[in-house]
Amino acid sequence: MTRREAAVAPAESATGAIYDLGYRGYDGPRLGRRAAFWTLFRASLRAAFGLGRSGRSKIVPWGLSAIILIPAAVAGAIEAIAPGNLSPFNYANYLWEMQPLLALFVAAQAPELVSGDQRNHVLSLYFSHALARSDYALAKLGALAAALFGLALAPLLVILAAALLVSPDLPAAIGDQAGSLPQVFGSPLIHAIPLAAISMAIASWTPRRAYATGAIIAVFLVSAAVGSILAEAGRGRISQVAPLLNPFVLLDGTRAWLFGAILPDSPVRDANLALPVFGVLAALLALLGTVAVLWRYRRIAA
Amino acid sequence: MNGVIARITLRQLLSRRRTLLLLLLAGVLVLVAGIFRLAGEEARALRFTSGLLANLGVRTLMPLVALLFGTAAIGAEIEDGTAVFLLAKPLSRRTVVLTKLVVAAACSIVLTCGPMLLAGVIGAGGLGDGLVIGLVAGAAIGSLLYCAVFVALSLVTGRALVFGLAYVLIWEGLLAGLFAGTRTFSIRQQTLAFAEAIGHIPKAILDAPLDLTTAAVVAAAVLIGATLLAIRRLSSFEISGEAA
Amino acid sequence: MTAAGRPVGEAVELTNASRWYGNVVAVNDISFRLDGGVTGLLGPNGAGKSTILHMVAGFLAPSSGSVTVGGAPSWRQPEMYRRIGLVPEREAVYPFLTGREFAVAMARLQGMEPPAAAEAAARAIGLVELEDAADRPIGGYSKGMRQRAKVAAALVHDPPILLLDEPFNGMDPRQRLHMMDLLRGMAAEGRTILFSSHILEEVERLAERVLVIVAGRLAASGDFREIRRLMTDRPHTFTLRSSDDRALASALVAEPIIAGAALDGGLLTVRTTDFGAFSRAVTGIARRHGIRLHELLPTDESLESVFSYLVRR
Repeated sequence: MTRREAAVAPAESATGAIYDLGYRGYDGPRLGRRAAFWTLFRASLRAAFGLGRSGRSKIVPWGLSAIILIPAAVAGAIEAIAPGNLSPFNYANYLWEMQPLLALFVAAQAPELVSGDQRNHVLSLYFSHALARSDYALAKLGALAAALFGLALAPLLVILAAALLVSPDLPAAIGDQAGSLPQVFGSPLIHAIPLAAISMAIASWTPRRAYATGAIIAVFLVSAAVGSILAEAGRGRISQVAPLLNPFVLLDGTRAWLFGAILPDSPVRDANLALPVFGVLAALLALLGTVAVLWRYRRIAA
Repeated sequence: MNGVIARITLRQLLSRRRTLLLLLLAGVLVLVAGIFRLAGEEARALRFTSGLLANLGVRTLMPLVALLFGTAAIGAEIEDGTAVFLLAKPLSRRTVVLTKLVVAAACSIVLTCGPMLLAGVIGAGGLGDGLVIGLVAGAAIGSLLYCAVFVALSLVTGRALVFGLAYVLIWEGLLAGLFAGTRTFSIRQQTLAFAEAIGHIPKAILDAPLDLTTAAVVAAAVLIGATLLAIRRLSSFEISGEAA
Repeated sequence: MTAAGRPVGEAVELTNASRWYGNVVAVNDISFRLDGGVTGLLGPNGAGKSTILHMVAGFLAPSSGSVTVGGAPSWRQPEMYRRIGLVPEREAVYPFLTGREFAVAMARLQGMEPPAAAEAAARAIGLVELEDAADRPIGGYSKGMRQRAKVAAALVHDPPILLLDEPFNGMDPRQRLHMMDLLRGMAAEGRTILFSSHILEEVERLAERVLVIVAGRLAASGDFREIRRLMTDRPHTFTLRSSDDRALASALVAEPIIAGAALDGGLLTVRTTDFGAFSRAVTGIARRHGIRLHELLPTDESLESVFSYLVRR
């Protein structure tokens, strides 16, 4: 007798019946591990932007999204009114200039994704389903990277749109801009993955949101400051290697390597190192971060 | 100022984890100075030290330390639920705010200026003709200002840490770089102005764009304004007791 | 503990007090006056009990109406806290302080000088029977011990008014009995004690007076047996044991004041709208039919039945 049959046939007698309103089993199809992974990914991505949650959790991500778009929008408007390439913002330098916003987003939202689960001790619930521990870690990491990718891509798309809309000859403009498309999509990707990996690695180690946010920001700020100080005042090798301490410099160097255009005021120029070095180190950073996250969730007691 | 509150706050702020994190940060400062001592050019010692204390010290360490202590001074008690024990007492809210502010500021100053002094002396090979003293003294004032702002912030919003970070990174970082006008209201810039004046630091070594009078006036206004705001918010602070 | 000539407990008074948060009304037009004795705030979770307690404690301002303690409004009056001891519901305490240090700190904050504070703390800790653990950090206490530490902290300055929010949470039966004795003793000295609970037995045993709060409104107040008598639109239920239940049942059913009778498993239950007339009549009926009555008990005078009636109204 399957449970479904039992539910449908109530206890009956001539004058009355008692209906079983209790637990029902489920005999239907069960989606597997892949579905679980993507569900967690989607849910975490939504959570990174506060969707499906109270208004208060939307303030930070959407506030930062608005702020990061403003300069691009303003530059586009200026371009429309007074065309002539006056815009200080282009695909190459936008993310470098907007470093603090990327850092702030990832410092605020990485703990938002993972600290709650640890604090409320629900990891055991996750791990008792089809989801493997590594799946959980990668889904969370992937969601944060995807969110950061979106944040970084949006203003570049705005610049692209402005360039297309402002031009009087659309097909020619499209042709012009087509060459930049790899950078438009590639630069945010390069920035998103390592930054997400670093911050998730830090955030996953503590259930307290405030500590995680503080630690992530501290890492970014201190590494940047130390890098710039040693670069300026160190001798020879030290001043050459010092800029590599700053993750954002690594990312910008990778961008310059893959898409050209070294920024005039970026430490990448001063470092005088072969550009692939930056790319390799950035990839290494992303890898280390990912391994740290996987390790953490493999070992955490749940 | 209330001794009991001061002692309790001190013990809360100097929890093991927080102190460790901050000592780590302080250690980085001293480490970089040490690296310079070992491998840097002596002729550039003053410029290096000025850059070190102004960038790693004033720009990075000072706001982070003040943020952690300032938002936790009252914020942690409110979040944990122990604030009710301090508030259900025949004490003026002014006393509570001032005591907590003083303790937070004292902790911030010690954990910011101590390492800065040490690193500065190492980097400059001495007091650097007022460079180190000037920046350390400026940082003391800056720490107090930051603490006042963050204590007030923690009574205005539950996410004081993130908003404080946004202020430091976006307002004082991004915007001050783009719009010169915002520098007037930047605690970082005020600190540098004080440092330059107190240490009589020549412009070649440290150039603070803000002038002393403006800095002093705005800083005083910020300190008084933030403190009054905090007192006012705590005076009408509501605790509902319903399951959060 | 109280000095001779101490004024009888100060009055706590709510007059048409309401409190709302936007569209949600947490407390709706409540009025009562407490002047000594133990009063229990009874109600389901979310009914507004904590809100009322915090309004009395000066931590919430009434949106309309007034909340006064000893004649003066409770909101924004730090001096009032000399006369109030508050035991909040939240478990949070300072984990790094020992029980004794906590009590002493609270005493000092109440304005006592160190020698007096230490004495008062020792006395309070003795009252709650926390001496054994008093010198261990509160972080290591069990839930019941933490509750007792909070009560000690609230008693340390000998306040005439005590407010306790779910004070028996986490206490084992022995601790609960002890705490109830303590509170009853304090009330006997003339203090005003107001505590909240959603556990009927606690309120039934401890409170001289009950304030039933349902969905923010005061559904009933007073002695709960009195409240029961006032519930006239609902019949009272009695259980009877006699020499012949079946015959008694059929005899009673014929009477007009009987709303219903049921014989179930050897137990005769009778429902009547007029319990006074019934109790007078039943002996006569029994005698006329030659039945001996062994036992007559009212069965729904418990606080539970009162409460469930009020909640469903």
